[in-house]
Amino acid sequence: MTYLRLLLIVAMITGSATLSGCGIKPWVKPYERANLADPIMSFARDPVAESYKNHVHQAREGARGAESGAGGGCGCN
Amino acid sequence: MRNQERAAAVAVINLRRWPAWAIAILYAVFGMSLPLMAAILPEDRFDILYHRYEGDQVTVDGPSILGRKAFGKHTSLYANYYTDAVSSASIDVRTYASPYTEDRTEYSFGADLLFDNTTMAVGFTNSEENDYSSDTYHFGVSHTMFGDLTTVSLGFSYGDDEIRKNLYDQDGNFVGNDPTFGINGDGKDTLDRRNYRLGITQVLTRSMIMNLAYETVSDTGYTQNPYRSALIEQPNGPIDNRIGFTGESYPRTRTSNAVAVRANYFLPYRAALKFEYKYYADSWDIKAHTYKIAYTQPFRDHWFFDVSYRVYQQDQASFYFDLIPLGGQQTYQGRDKELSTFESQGIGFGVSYEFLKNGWWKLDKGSVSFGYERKIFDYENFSDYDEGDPRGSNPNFGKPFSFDADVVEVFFSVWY
Repeated sequence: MTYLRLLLIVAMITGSATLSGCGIKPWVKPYERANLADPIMSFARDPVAESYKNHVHQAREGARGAESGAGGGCGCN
Repeated sequence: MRNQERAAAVAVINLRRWPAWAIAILYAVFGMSLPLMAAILPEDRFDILYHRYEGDQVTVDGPSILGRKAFGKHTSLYANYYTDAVSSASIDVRTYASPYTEDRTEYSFGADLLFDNTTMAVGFTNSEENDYSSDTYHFGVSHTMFGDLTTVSLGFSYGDDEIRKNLYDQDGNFVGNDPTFGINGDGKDTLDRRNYRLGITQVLTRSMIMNLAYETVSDTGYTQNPYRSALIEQPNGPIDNRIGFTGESYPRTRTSNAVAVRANYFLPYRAALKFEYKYYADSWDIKAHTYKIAYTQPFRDHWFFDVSYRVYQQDQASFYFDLIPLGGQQTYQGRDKELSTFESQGIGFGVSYEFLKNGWWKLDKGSVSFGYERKIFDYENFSDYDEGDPRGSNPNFGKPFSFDADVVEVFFSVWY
């Protein structure tokens, strides 16, 4: 429940920021985002490959979570 | 639909008719200021991948097939089929067990629902082995704001696993599950998993984007491996006359926290430089650092080359013992090498070739990709206690264990 409460607080802060942020003008205009929209800038360009890499790491390392791209639970021993 | 067309189409979407409960949740969570900017659905694409891992006399390979298709302007569905075919004579197996083979099959499906600048995601994953069944339910919501410069995402997953223990005959053939296994002795045990995720992606400049990800995972239930043994000093034991086996005992709860920061930088001549750092800590006292740097270089419009270098460093769990001292008294004990102090390094290389870039029939484009990573694992306090065959022939007996692994991916993708 502690984590649900934490997420709720973050969501409320985010919601407040959204409301109060209506006056903020984006400092990178939509027409200036060609570089960022290039597929090579993606955090997970190929989801099927990214998911597999995460699986390899989860199976052989103690750490878990906060992976890039999609990642689900696995039943691997 | 082409990505640019889709982005343009969704940018002018107004508030649509959605169930009252969905609007209530979104309004409560985000305030729903409904700015004019909008998110987009993931790309329609189909991938078929072959993966292979080979290292420490373990081979894991199989296919992964992932398809995704948008239906209308608001809904994108996906399905994934994935298998692992495992053939193992790993250091654990060589030390105290028999080589084995097993299969794992995983199905996933889910949906992304676009609601102006908010995307909701739901998904389900089932994974089956003859000694492990796992169901995971995913839910997520992400919201773009500040003129699409910031995306905040929240996620929750619930996992419900059932663990059994296989029995084998003298020839190593599977004969069924142990009917006495589990905390209640009824042939099974359970693991309850809960993941809570928070992510923020921020456009910093016209050439740089950052991502901050946090995830906490809470496990309750059977957290260990039914087959693994710990080693104990035993003067008249079966290995080398000084090492014997004893059972593992893990805590039935584990809570972990991981925070990662990633930054992608676009270089002026069209290339991408990517950095990643992740810190991990859990209630078993494992602490880990992950560092990664990657570089992507397109070449002549059709080719993409990727190189990467990744380092993972980990400190051991509080109840990890390479060798339990004779007469040692502890509540928890384990000898999983993934709980020891170790470091791994990975050097990766990838190449993709894109074709049909002007589209053909109903396809927007296609690509074929190859990826290879060489991984090196160096264990600081996990020793090699494999006697070798014949007995006594392992020259590394008692020395810190290390091995190299090769990870290969080959995949074919089409966009439509």
